[in-house]
Amino acid sequence: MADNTTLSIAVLSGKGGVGKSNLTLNLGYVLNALGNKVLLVDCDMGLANLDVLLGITPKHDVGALLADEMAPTDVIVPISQNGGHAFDLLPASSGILEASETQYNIPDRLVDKLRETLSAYDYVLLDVGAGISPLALSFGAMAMLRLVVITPEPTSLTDSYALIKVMASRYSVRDHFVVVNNYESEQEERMAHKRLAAACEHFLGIAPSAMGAVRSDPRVSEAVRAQKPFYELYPECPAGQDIAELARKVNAMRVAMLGRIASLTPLRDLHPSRPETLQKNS
Amino acid sequence: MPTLPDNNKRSSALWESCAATEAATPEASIMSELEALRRLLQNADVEASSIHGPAPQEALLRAASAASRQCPSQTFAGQSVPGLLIAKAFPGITPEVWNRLCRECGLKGWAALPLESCEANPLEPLVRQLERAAFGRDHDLLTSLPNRTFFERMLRQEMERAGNTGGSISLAMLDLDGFTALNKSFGQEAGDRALQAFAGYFTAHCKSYDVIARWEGDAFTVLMPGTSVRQARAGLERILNGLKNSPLVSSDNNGGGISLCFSAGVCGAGPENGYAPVEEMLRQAEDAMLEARKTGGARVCLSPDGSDPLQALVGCDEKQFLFNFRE
Repeated sequence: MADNTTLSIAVLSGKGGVGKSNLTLNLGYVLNALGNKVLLVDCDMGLANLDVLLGITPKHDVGALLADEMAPTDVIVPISQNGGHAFDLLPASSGILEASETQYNIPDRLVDKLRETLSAYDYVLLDVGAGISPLALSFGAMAMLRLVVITPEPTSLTDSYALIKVMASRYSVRDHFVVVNNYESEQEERMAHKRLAAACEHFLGIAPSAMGAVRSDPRVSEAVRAQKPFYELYPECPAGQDIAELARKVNAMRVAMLGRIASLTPLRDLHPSRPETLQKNS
Repeated sequence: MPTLPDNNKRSSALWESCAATEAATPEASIMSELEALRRLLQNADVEASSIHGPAPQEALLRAASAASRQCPSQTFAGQSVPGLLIAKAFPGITPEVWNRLCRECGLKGWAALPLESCEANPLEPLVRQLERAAFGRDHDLLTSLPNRTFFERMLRQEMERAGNTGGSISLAMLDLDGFTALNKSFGQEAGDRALQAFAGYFTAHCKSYDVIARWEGDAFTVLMPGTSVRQARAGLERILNGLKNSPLVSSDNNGGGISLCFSAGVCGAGPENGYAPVEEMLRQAEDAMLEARKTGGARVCLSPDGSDPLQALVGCDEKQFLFNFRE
C-alpha cells in the first residue's frame, strides 16, 4: 500500500460562536491556495453552516452517504479549483433529529465510507460541532491533529478547558493546538493562551501548544455576509494576514510530519474490532 | 413391551431419554434407577376401575414419539452418542402420586405425561415444561423478574442505543435493608415472600419501560432508559417513600407487618457526561449503593462519577485558576 500523505485536522471548540467554522473555511482556502488538495468535512450534524458560509446549497449531504444511498463522489461538492488542486466540501446532514436517530455510530460509519476517498487529499479538515457531545469528541479523537479555537472570553476558556479535559479522560487524547480567534490586543491574546495552557498543565499535565491567532477584524463579518471566505475577498486585511500565517505553519507541520503519518489511515478507526469492518476485510 | 391392562381409569406414561442427559448414562445407574422405579410402583397405591379414553398402548406410543422428537440424537464430548428413550405406561398412577414417589425416592430427570391428555394434545404438558425452562433462562423463578443474564444483555443494548442517539440513561443498584435479619427472625419462607412482594411493588410503581432485575440474593438492578440521574433518583425516592408507608410482608398471623426499605445507588450516562462502558456503570452504581447503605440505608445515593457532569467537569479551583492566572 502507498504511504499515506493525508493529514487530518479536527477543528474543535468548547463553546459555540467563536468563529470556528469560518476559521476552518479560510484555513482550508489558504491551504488550497498554497497548492494543496483540501477536503472540508462539515461534522456539525445539528447546525451545519459551512455551506451557508460559502453561499451554496448542496443537493445532497453526508446523510445520503451514511444511509448507503450515494457514493462519496456524489455527495462531495467542489468549492473551487486552484491550479488543478481540488478544494471540496462534504456537507453535513442538516436536522439534528435525522442524525441522532440513526441505528449506527456516525463517526465509525463515516470512516468506513470515506476509507478510499480521503487519500486523494493533502488535507482533510473536520469542522466539528462545538461542545463536548460524544459525536464531537469522536471526530476530535479520529483526526491526527486537533486545533482548539478559543476567544479571550472567560466562558470560552472554561469550555475549552472542559473539552481538553474530557478528551483526555474519555479518549486519552492529550495533544492539542490552540488558536486564539477574534482578539483585540496582543496582551489579551497572549493571556488567553497562557491561562488555558497553565490550567491544563497544572490540573491535567497537558501542555496545549499555541498554534496561531487571528485578530478581530470587521472584514470577517463583511465576508460572512457576502458568503465568501474573508481571505478570498480581503487577503491583506489583518485577519487575512493572520490566517495566512496560520496556514503556513500548518503546511510546514504537515511536511515535517510526512514520515510519521505514512503508516496511518487519514482518520483513526476508534472501534477497529467492530463486525462491520471485519466483514469488509475478510 | 409388556401387555398393558386396558381397564384403568387413570394411568401415566413415563419416559426418559438417556441421551438427553449431559453425559452418557452409566449402565449401573440405569439398573438401580429402574429397580427403584419397579419397587416404588409395586408399593404404590393404585386405583383400578373401568377405562375411558384411548388404549394405553396407542397413547404410550404417541407419547414416546413426542418425547423422542423433543430429544433428537445428542452429542457427548463432540461424539454423537446413541440414545434410548424408555417409555412405559403405568396404569393407575396419577401425576400427584408420581411426584410424591419421585420426591421420596430421589428419581430425577423423568418426565411423566398423563395418558388421558395424550388424546387431546400429547405435547401440551411437554410444551409447558419447556416454556418454564425457557422462562427460567432469562428470569428469576422466585420473583418472576428478569435475571442477571437478561439484565446485562438489556443494559448493553440500551447503552448502545443511548450512545448512538445521544440519549440519557440511568442505572440503579438496590439492596434490601435488613434482609438477613428478616430471614433470621421470620424464616426463609417469609424472606422469599418479602422478595416477591418487593418485586411486585416495584414493578407496579416504576415506568413501563424501566427494567428491574433480581441481580443476586436481595440485590436488584434497575435500568431506566431515557432517564437522567436526577429523574432516576426522584423516581426511586418516590418508590422508597411508598414502601416505607406500606407494609408488604405480614410478620405473623395477627396482621402485623414489616415495611421493606432499600439502599440504592444511581449512576447515569448521557450527552453531557458521556457513555462509560457497561462494567464501569455497574461499578459506579454498586459503589453508590454501598455508600447509601453505609450512611444508614433507606436512601438513594448518586454516583460521584459524572452524576452532575457539568458541575463536576470544571471544578471551582480550576475555574479560579483559569480566571486569575497571572504571569
